[in-house]
Amino acid sequence: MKNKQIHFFLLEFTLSLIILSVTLLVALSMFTQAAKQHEETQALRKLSGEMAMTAETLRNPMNEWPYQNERKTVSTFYDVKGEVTTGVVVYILTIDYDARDTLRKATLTLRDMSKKALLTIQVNALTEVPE
Amino acid sequence: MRKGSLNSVFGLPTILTVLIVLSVLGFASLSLVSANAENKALKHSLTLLEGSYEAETKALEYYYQVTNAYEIIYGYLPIGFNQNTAIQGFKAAHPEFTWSGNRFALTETVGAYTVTISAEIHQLHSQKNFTLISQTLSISNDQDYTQNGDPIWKGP
Repeated sequence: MKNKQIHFFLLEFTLSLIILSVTLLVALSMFTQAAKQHEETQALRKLSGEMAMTAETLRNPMNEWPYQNERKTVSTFYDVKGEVTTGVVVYILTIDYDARDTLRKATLTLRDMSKKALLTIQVNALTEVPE
Repeated sequence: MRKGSLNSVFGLPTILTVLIVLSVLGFASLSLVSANAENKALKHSLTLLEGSYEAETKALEYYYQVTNAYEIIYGYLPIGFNQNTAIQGFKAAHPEFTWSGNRFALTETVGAYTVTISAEIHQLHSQKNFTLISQTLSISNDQDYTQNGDPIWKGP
């Protein structure tokens, strides 16, 4: 009887340990996924903020564009944290300047490594300043 | 191990396991749901940002297209010439603009955003016949703010 009780207790203890291990693994995977998602959100927030600032700068007719009377595409590479990098690239920001006409146009596109566009901002500006 | 002490711990691992499983999985789920919601909210706001720039781009492009066409068509007129006939023709060609004398407003709507560009055409022909006066962006969220600035629920 006593041996049977010990046997059942050990069985319960072992099963509990197995369930706990599985649960911890699942929870760890969920926490990791959440952390990854959070990091992606932070990077996207940072990069979209920078893009909006650039777009506003370009939209202001008082500001000179970096390129005059030509079309130029500039790409900048960012890491997982949204910092400019020359190493592992996670995000690519492409700015297509078209300043050949009076109506200057620029398209800012943020893509991930699968070339999926995460954010596209189209800006144009007349050289004319509103009164 | 005595029989009494064994009886007292029998079932304890199960209770502890259930508690730990519930709390750990609960926190993990909350963390994941929160991260997903934050990401979704950001993507929604980025879509709105894209829409606002798209509306402004379209409006300005249309303004440029229309004014540039006028400059090309009536470019032969001498500087200082009273271009009243040309202006009347321009007005007739663009009934979609809101006219007030020689001033006009054009509106472009993309989604919830409306961009209004106000400009003026000069009576006397010059190198630049149009003056851009203002460019405004407004958003319609289908809410009524007429009372105390608080949104009024209109019912289902």
